[in-house]
Parts: sequence; structure tokens; C-alpha cells
Amino acid sequence: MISHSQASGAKQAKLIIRNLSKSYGEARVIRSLDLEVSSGEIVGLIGANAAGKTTLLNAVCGMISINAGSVTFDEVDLTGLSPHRIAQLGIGRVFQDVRLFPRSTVLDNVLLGFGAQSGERLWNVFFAQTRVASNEGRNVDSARQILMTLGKKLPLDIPAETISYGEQKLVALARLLALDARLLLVDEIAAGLSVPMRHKIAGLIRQLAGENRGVLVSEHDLAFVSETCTRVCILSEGRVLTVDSPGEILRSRVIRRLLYGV
Amino acid sequence: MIQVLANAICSGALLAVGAIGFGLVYFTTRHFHIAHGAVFTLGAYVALYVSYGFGFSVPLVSLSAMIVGFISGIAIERLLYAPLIRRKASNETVLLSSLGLYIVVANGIAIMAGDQNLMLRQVSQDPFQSFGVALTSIQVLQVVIAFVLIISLAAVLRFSRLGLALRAVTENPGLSVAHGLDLDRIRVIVLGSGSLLAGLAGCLAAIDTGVSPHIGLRAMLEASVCCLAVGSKSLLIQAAMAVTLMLLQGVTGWWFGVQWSSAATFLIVMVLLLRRAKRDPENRLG
Amino acid sequence: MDFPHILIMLAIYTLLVSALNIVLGYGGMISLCQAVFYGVSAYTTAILTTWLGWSSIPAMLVSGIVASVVALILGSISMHFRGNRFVLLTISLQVIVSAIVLNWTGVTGGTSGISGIRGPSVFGFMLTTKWEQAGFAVVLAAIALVLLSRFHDSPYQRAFSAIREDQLAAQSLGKNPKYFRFSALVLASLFSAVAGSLYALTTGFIDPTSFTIDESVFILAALAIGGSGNVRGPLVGAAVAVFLPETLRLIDIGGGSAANIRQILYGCALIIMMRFRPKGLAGNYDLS
Repeated sequence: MISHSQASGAKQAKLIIRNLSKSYGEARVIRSLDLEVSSGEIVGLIGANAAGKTTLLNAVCGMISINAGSVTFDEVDLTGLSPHRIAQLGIGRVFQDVRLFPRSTVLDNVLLGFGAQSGERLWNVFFAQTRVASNEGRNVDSARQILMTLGKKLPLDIPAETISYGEQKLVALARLLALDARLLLVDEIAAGLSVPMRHKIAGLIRQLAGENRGVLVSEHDLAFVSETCTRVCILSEGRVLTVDSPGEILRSRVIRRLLYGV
Repeated sequence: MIQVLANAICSGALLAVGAIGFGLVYFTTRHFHIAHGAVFTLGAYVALYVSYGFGFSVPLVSLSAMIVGFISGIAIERLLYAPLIRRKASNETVLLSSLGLYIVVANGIAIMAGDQNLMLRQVSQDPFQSFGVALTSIQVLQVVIAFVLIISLAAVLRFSRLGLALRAVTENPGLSVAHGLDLDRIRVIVLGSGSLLAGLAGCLAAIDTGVSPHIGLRAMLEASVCCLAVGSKSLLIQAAMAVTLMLLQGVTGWWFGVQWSSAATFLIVMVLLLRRAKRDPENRLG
Repeated sequence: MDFPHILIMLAIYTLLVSALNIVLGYGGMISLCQAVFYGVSAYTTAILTTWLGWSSIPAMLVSGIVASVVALILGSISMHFRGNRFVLLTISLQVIVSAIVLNWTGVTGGTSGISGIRGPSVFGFMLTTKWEQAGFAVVLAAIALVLLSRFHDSPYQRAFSAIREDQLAAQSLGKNPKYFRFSALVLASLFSAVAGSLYALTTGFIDPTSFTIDESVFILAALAIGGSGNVRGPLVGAAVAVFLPETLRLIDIGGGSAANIRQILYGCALIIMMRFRPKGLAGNYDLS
């Protein structure tokens, strides 16, 4: 597995959310929420529909403003930063609806993940051709390698909208590898996938965490959660309720009631 | 000063007619319907043609303009937009076709009728005095028409099944289709009625200030501003925007000279759009 | 057929349509204010060379700077807008600038425009014959095309187009939409500025009627017909833009209504293109 991160040794980049609150008008979606994700951890986030899981992810990514509290990553305060800055700090996201760039090729989708591309500065495009070309060449090689490791049979040069749903999710993960994300926010990745694909992605997530990355898995699929996560948080009524070991989740009746109302 | 205000209310009323027509189309289809300007011009010249051919009377002329507008609207929808929609064309494609149609119609009219400003002269242009302001009868008529229009349209939207359907499509087209609403039929109705209003507005403009072949674009832009600058679907707000716009135009024309009034209008447009963006920072898509 | 003149107009429209292609073809932003950059630059060049005696190249450079300033203003105002509101904003800008050009008589000469503009001079050599000027124009256009071929398929363009497809997803990968929007607008304005300078220097006379919203619409129609999203499309669009009026003039249609007929043809072409061939004649990006 491609990982520049192995070279950086045991650098711990921690996501620390303290006292986070977010309201939409009268509705308080998140209240005084505390949560931490360290490198190497896979933290599950479960909760009923509309409990605020996606809102929480949006807040961390800087896509929505927050009313109170703080979010820091690797000791950098994320509040008020724009989404692209937060991404550049190493926080990557897999969206609930995947959101690959539909008309761009699979390869281009992954290439878009690489940061600090000299070819993305307009001046370089015109006046620094050689540097751009070599940078691009290296990125193309890395992208191919990432895609090979994730899905050997992924076709590279067709529009991303034409590949299957499961393959799209793999490419979404590949993008985050190109980004070299130290923290991955994964939103309902298990949804709509076949059982073998779910296992494959679960394995990939465990591998990624093993490369000194932190993963926050927001999920409905409890089986997937217990397969991947080292720790589980339940989001209910805007707060994180209990932090349990994953095995308990499947058995606990309290939790089932919280999630499904039965 | 009151005169300026009175004039603004009257021309605002005229603009409101066109704006509401544009808004009908815009809010249900989300398309920037440039061809609205084409129907506006068409309505104006139909009014001129009818009055030169058959003698002038306000009901005759406005009725013909409205009928032509209505038919044009339906034709535009069936022949121009519908094939594109069926193909799931992008908004850009639709906008460009609409622009193309506008160009064709405006220039076609220019060829047939010449480039100069034409006006229906038969209506009494002598303003009559009341409450210290001088207004022509057509100006008063504009206000009356706008008033009636807003009330009746609001009633239709609020109380009729059609109105309910329109509101549903405006809120959530996907869900509306899932509930069995025939989107194509609604599009036809909306385009037809919006264009009817455009034609009427054009006819009124021909009577009030005169028209030339290329004013349709300006008219459409001003109409779109009333709908987009504040983004409100409320008919009253659109009408209020129209009056405000005309008032600002009148005032700046008064202070700075008439040649600056349209520039001033669009400066105000930019300011309004900016304020809307600042107030709504999380909704970043235009 | 006045060949040098046609070459010059081809060069000018290649620049103008390619400029719009950057913003619209790759970036998806429909701009109806290209004539603003075109006109601002033409007037700046005219004023600097005719009234202040500057030579051509420095005047062109300053015209480019002025045009980019306008582009930066547009960029900062339009930061939060895409789609319909962006179009409206560009139209507003176009109308405002047209009014300024028309009415600021002291600086722009109002309706009379500016006449007696000297021809271009390169490093002290005056280019007096039409062929020399055409050569100058063609060289500039060729340089632009080289730059555009580097632009096409570059990482910058890839990211720029990704922002168009899904701005939020692009941001989540670290792409800064502000940088791309500003730089693209400035680039487009620079190309248009060169076209404006060329126009002023080679025709010797400019007035407000060449830089109105009709011109912006014309450039847009040319792009839609020629095709967008690659280097070829704008070239084809420019060719259509230049040769159609010339052909009409040869066939001598309509006399006084020639301009209107030309417009009608463009309008029809636009409608037909969008209906049957949204890629344009030679374009890459399917607008549908």
C-alpha cells in the first residue's frame, strides 16, 4: 500500500472536538459534543437518521459554520478555515453520495487528489513546462499504483460516472490516498454495497489506519462498524452518548432502541 | 418629488407585470428565460400592428398582445425547450437557445419594422392632474392592471389546484413528479402564462413610452432583477422590487442625467446580489 | 476580399472567443461581459498612444493591466455566484461599463469615439502596411494558441473543470476555488485585452458601439457554434464570426438590413447548435 506516512514515523495527528454546538435556527442539531480521533484509530459514529452525523462531518470539514466549541487537528485550530485549507491540512472525506467528478476519467479523479501540484499554478503551466511535466509524471505513476492496490481491475480512462457504485467508492478512497489524508472522514461507505465489497472496504480501512491514519466512520451498518472500528460513539440528540467496544453494539438492546426505536 | 414617486409607481407597475411573468417561468423551471424579452418585443409590435391596421383601442390591442404572447409561450416551450429538456440538456444549453431565439426575433422585428422608436399615439397623452401629480391615463391603467394581476394570481396560487401544483414544483420538482404531477403540462402552462404577461407588458410599454426592436433584452433583464436580486417568490415583493428599481432609476436620472439611469440600475443590481450573498454565506451556489 | 483585414479580424476573434472559452468552456461560467475587457483595453491603448504619445507595446501592457483589474473586480464581486446570477452580474457589468464609455465624454470621446490612432509599432518600427499589421496580429494570436495548448489538459485545467463539476468535492481535495476563478478571469481578460489593443491599433478608430452587450453576445454565439473545451473550437468559432459577414457582404444581401440578417443567422445557428450539436462544430465539451 502506498503510504508516504510510514516514513514520518509515529507522528500522532489527533482530531479533537470540544464542546461543539451547531444550530439551524431553533433546531439544535449538535450540542456540546466532545470527540477525539487519534492516528491509528478507527472510530465508529452511529446514530439514528438525522441525528447529526453528516452535520458533524460538515463542521469538521469547514463546510458549515459552528455556533460554539472548537475543532483542532494536529494542534491546528480548524474553526473558520475554508474547506480547501482543511483538506490541505490532511483531512479527507468520502461523501455519502461519493461525489466523484462524473465526466473526468477515473485516473483524473485520483490525480485531482494530489496536493501541491506545480501544474495547478497557472504561471507554471505557461512558463515552467518541464517542472510541471515531471511532477505530473510522478503523480500519474503514484495514481496508477494506488488504483492497482485498491482495485486491480479498475479501468482508468473512462468517465467516472460509468463505473459501478462500489468501484466509485474505491476510487473515492484512492483520491484520499493521493491526498495523503492523515484523517479520513468516511460517510456511510458501506451503503448499497455487496457483501464481498463491504469486506474489501473494511479491510482497506483497517489497512489505512495501520498506516498511522485516523478514521472516523459514520455508519448505519452495525455489522460493518463492528468489523472495522476500534471504538464506537453513538450520536443521539446532538450529543455523543456512550463510547463502547464494538462487540457490545450488536448485542445491546439499549442501543438498538436508540437507533431503531424498537 | 412626489411626481417622481408617482411616475415610479406607474412604471414599476409596468415592470411588475413583466417581472411576474418572468418569475413564473424562472421559479418553476429555474431557467433564465431570455426569450421572455423576445415575447415582450413581439407583444409591443403586435399592439402597434393591430392598432395601425384595425384602429386603436386599449382592450383590443392588449388582448391581441396577450393572445400572441400566450401562443408564443406555448410554442417556445413545445418547440424550443421541450426537446432540450427531454434530452436532459444542461442549463447552459437552454440559456443559449433562449438567447438565440431572442436574437432572431429582435432582429426579425428590426428588419420588418425598422430600428426606430415607435409609440402608440392614439391614447390621450395629456396628463391629468390629481393630488398634485400629473399622470397620463395609461399610467394609471398600468397600476390598475398590475394590481388586478397580483391579486388574481395570488388567489390562483393560493386557492386553486393549479396553484398548488405550481407551488409544489417550485419547491421540489423531483418530489412533485413522484407524486404524479405532469411536469411537461405545467411547463406549458407556466410558459404560456408568463409569456402572456410578457406580451401584455410589451403592449403597455408601446403605449406608455414607445418601443424599439432591441428593448426586449433590457426589459427582460429588469424583470429578472426583480426576481433574482432578492430571490423571493412572493408576488408582492417582486412588484415592490419593480417599483423600487424604477424609483431608483428615476432619482438617479434626475440627479445625474438620464444617460446614467440604466447604469445606475445595474449598479444597484450588483449591490443587491452582493448583499444577498453576504447574508446567505452557506448557500454558495448561484 | 481584403485579406490582411480578414487575418487581423481572425486573430482578434480567436483571442476573444478563446478567452471566453477559458471561462465558459472549461469553467462553466457564462459570461456576457467579454466586450468589457475588449473595450476597456481598446480605449486604454487608444488614449495612451494617441493622446499621450506612448508606443504600442507599453500601451498594450498597460491595457492588459487595466483589463485584469476589471477582471479582479468582477472576480471578487462574483465570488459566491454561479449559473444564472453570475450571468446577471456579467450583464450588469457590461451595461455599466458601456454607459461609462458612452458618457464619460472627456476621457472616451463619447459617441464620437477616438480617431486617428496610429498603427502598431514594434521596437521602434512602425508597421504601416496592412500586411505588416496582419503579421503582427497573427503572431500575437499564435502565441496565444501556444499558451492555450499548454492550458488544455494541464493540471490547472483539470482542477478548474473539476470545480465546475462539483465545487464542494474539489474543495474537499484541497482545491481553492477563489484562486482558480480569479486566475481564469484574469487570463481571459488578458487575451481579450490583446484583442482590444489590436483592434484599436489596426483600425485607427474606435467608438462605443463596438463594445456593447451585442458584441458580448456575438462572442458567446461564436463560441457556442465553434465549440468549447478545446483549442480548435474557438478557432472555428472565430472563423464563422469573421467569414459569415464577409460572405454576406459578397453576396450583397439586404443592404441596410445586412447587420440584422447576420444577427438572425447567428441566432439560428445558436438554436440549431444547441438542439442538435451542443458540442459545437469542433468542440470537446458537450454543453448538455
